[in-house]
Amino acid sequence: MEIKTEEYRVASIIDYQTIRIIFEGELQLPNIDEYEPIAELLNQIVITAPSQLILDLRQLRSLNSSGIIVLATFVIDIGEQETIDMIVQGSPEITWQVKALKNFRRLMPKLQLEWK
Amino acid sequence: MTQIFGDFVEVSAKSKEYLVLGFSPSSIPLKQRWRNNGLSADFIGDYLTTFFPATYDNKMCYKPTEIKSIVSYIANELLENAMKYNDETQDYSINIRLELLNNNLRFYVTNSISPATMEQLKKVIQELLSEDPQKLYFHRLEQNAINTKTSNIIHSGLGLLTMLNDYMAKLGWKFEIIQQDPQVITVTTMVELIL
Repeated sequence: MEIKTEEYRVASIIDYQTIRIIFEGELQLPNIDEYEPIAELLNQIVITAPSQLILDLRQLRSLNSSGIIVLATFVIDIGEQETIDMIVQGSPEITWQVKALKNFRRLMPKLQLEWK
Repeated sequence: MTQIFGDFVEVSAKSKEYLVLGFSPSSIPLKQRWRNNGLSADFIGDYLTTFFPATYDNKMCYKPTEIKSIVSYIANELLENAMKYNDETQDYSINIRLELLNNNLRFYVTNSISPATMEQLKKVIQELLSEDPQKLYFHRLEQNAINTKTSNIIHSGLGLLTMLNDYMAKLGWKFEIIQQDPQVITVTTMVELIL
């Protein structure tokens, strides 16, 4: 599955028992409603319940607070499914990621963070 | 009539370095001009880095690249809020001002606001000022996860909470009635960051 515009790209790639979700670009949509297609893509992944999930945010340069709500909701939903291992890959060069990803780990203590 | 909330500090008379951008909100529909928020915020972040590394020293809390990123994030959130809260029936420009005084960076964003939206915003402000920002931040994220159908985050204040929680910013607001008959109310949101 892929959602692509001039500003951003969200894609999910299934590789056997692992799903990799890639976020790229600048994601600053006006409200939660506008995030609905992305939230739906993430929801489908929660339903699929893979054994491993990699959320790759390294190329996501900016995300507004509405987007943080959408990603945090996803992290909470995955955390409730205790069978899914989740790795979030972030860039230490992107300040919002350094802050937000630490907060995400508080929402899901089992979350593994990888800084690349 | 003027009402102040939080740590609001008036624009400094001593300020020699500042940047002001103005937007005429009614000229283009909100959806079309939304992207301008990000562009303007990135511009403000870039602009500020022109002061560094000339004045950068190791005593500062952040590296120049971090400052650019934080400034861009905060400016974008403030502009997004201003566009959302703005009273579209008023022909009043939204403006953002950034000033640097020693290591204090202050943002001021002013927009018009309807009486009903003002009351909603005051409730958000009172909650932000009376609760522990960290607790409120996580509570808000958990609340939104339960109620993902929240269609409008105008009441959530998560952008402001991020500034308090992640960047230790000081926040303040000034509401002013600047014109009677017809009444025009403005709100100025101030964010102060120690660099």
